[in-house]
Amino acid sequence: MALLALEDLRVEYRTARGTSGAVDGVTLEVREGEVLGLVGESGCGKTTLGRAIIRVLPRNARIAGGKIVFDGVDLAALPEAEMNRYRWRSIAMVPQAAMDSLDPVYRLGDQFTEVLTVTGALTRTDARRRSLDLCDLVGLDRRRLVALALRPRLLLADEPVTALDVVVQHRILKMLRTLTAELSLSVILVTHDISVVAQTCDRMAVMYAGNIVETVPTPDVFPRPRHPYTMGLQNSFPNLLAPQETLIPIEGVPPDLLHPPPGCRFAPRCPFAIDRCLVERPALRELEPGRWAACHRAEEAGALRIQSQEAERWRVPVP
Amino acid sequence: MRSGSVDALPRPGQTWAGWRRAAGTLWGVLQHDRFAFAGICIYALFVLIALSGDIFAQLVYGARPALTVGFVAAFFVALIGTSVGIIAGYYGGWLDAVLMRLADVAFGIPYLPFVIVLVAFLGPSLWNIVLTMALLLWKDTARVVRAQVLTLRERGFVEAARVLGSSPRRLMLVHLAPNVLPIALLYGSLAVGWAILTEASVSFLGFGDPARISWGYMLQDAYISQALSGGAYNWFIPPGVCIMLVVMAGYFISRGYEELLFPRLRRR
Amino acid sequence: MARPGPMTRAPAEAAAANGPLVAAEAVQKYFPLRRGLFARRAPGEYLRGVDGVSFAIPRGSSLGIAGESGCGKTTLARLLLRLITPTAGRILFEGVDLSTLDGPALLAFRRRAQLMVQNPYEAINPRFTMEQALAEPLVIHGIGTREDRLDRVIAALAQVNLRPADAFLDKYPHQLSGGQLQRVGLARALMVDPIFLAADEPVSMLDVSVRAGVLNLMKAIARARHLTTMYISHDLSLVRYVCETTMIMYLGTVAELGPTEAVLASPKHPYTQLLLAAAPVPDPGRPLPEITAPEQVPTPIGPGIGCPFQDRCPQVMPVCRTVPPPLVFVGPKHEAACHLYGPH
Repeated sequence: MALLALEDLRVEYRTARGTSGAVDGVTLEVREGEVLGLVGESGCGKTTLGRAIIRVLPRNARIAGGKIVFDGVDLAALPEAEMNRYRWRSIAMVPQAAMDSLDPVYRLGDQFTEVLTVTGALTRTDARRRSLDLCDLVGLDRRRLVALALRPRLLLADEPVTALDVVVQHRILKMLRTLTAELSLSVILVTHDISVVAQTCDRMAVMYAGNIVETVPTPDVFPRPRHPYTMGLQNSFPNLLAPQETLIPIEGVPPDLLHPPPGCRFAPRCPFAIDRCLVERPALRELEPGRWAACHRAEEAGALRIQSQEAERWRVPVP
Repeated sequence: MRSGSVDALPRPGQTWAGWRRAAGTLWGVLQHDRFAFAGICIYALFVLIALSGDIFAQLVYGARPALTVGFVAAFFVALIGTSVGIIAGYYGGWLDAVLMRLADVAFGIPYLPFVIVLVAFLGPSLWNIVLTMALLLWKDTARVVRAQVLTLRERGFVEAARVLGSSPRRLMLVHLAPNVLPIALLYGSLAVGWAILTEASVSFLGFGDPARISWGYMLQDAYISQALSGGAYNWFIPPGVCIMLVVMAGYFISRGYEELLFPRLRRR
Repeated sequence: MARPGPMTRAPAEAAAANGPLVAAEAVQKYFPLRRGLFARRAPGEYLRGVDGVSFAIPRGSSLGIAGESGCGKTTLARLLLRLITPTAGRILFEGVDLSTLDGPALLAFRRRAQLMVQNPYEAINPRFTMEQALAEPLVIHGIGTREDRLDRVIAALAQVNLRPADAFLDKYPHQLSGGQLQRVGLARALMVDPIFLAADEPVSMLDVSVRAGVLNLMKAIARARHLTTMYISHDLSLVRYVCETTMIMYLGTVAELGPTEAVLASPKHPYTQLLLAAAPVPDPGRPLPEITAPEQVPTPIGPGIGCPFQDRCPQVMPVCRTVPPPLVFVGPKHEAACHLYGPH
């Protein structure tokens, strides 16, 4: 059963130049005890999506439509006061700059205890004990674990390992896996690094310009990507263990979300775009059980995968 | 010096309709232009004419030393402060240490007593007041600019410029100076305010140039004459408001200049 | 100002023309921890940025330097470009000791060795247009006439695939994407026709989809111009993509040095093995491996006795506590600094 289900979620930013749909109709499920990797380029809306779930959006952003169904309750429709019952207790967040998430002025133990007592869940002594337990559980990198202090059911981890050295990164990912097993925790892991997803996540959702373009179980995505964007990502990503190949970049830049292209948002950079892609927005479709893609040519994915290996195809003419 | 009759100057209409019209015009200007403060200033002046021609004359005459001191001192403060800040931040090491200790000394010297002593030595004149300000007020600008340079120095483009063979002079003038200019201008415009206020306080204390009327001198005059307790608001409010307006104007001009110079800021 | 011609060579240097382009001999760079005019420094109060590093970069080859943050790779690059001078040891560029360079000779060196900086968003002076940024090297070195320079700038933009070049001339850095800025950074480095190019994490701030474009461009240009390159990265897979030779650094020292494929296929130093085990791979079939190395935060401060990796090494021996391991050959052109392979 799905712990969290997003249904056609839309988040808008009001800017001086107009309204931008940073998250534009996202439908996504997170199951109990599952680690979901949310991948995409910077500015594709993955951070906004994470923040929308826990409803800590910046002032100029708002949820413009859709549902956030967590454990049967639509969080998008909850009044602010009731939402607070879910924050931390049920859904926790590790923000992007985890280095700054702890106040350097106070000792770690005190900060854990604060989270535990302020939310009214535990007494001070219990809180103290719980925080010590947690520290034991996670070892050295305590700072990131404030989020787990209340035994939440869903953890939103926004780029938790970006800018870390590989050894530390490995330790944190390892710890994340241990915790999901021990605490039956569901995790949304937001990252731009598909190798992190490959080794840690059960499923992977690929985001592009505010849309989910593909959702697949991780073991299936690398041998058989179904969306051209995923193919492009795979082409551009070096693999330390595989034989050396030439990397192929995805030329061009993501669209301006204030004026997104009318059809598929990836069409301007897509080597396989046909006329239909330029006018009609592809819906996210279930192609095989559990395998979703938003592409008009998803049925031809097998042939496109072979063509996508040719570097020449990705040379999109300069606009 | 209580001369300068302004009876010849026109007075605004004192009828109700006249006031309303004037207020409406003012509101229109305010809506369209942020420099409408100038408008308020003019309006205030007309009111003052209505109230006391004598004070108005002093006010107009007093603007001259205030503006001279303000802008000349601010110019030197910004110039010395920026140069010291850039040099200290760029070279670092002993030069930085020496310059910053100098700034500490400048910080440590109590300002007004210093001015009073120096003026006592050199004689009370406007230029001596400017000199003392240039000697002491550069320290804030220097500190802030130095801090900015320290972060700029670590930026990729400064490193790249060094690798490309830029001379230290070129680095400081072409790469560092334009990037600290906004902050130097900000501090410069604040210095305008400081300088005017300082001139006012020095005059207020009676150490100003006795041969010149300034806004500070007017305040002192009002104080000595017990205008405050006598309720003669029209005597001390106008110079006070003028000091405030000029300080604000300095700030707005620097802001506008910054936008003009660095178009990127305009987007926000 | 007298403009230096092509580097003036003394006869002794001509002999070095066939040797490596860059050679580091026991290079050391210590940073004092306490600063100030009258600070006294005890021997331990230094941060050992680079601690006795020797290697050579043959002409036309590419050296990749990998290691954790704080291992001294950036300090090393700054030493090689003479942005800082070593505390001890020598760096030879075309056989000439860099620390002896001065005035015109230094300016000539600046035309031969160039840098691509890490953060593309900081690589260009925010007050400069692209034209100004690219023309700056020409102005500094007095290359070309005023009209001539514009042509060179346009050619440089085209060379890094920024077309049409006219569209970029009047742009400010904030109007360009990270990938485009990094290309401009590369173009600027190439304006003076260098023979050596150092790149410090040039793509770490870029999106995955545009990284490949910048790396391919770097590789192609290096090949076309016979550049000698040095590539610094914490990401071994990128080092592998760009470089023939790989050097693994740990706390300011060389842990392992050798042909890239050899180092990655059969890593000898326990630290290299740790790095490789921890590196993520886009392969769902390979679960996260177990790592046995003790968790320790490395510190470059302190007396530094014995092997720098001793506290984290799973195979630590008594000798590692006292004797710093020298680099020994463990394969063809493949060296590692570890007592496991030494005479002990």
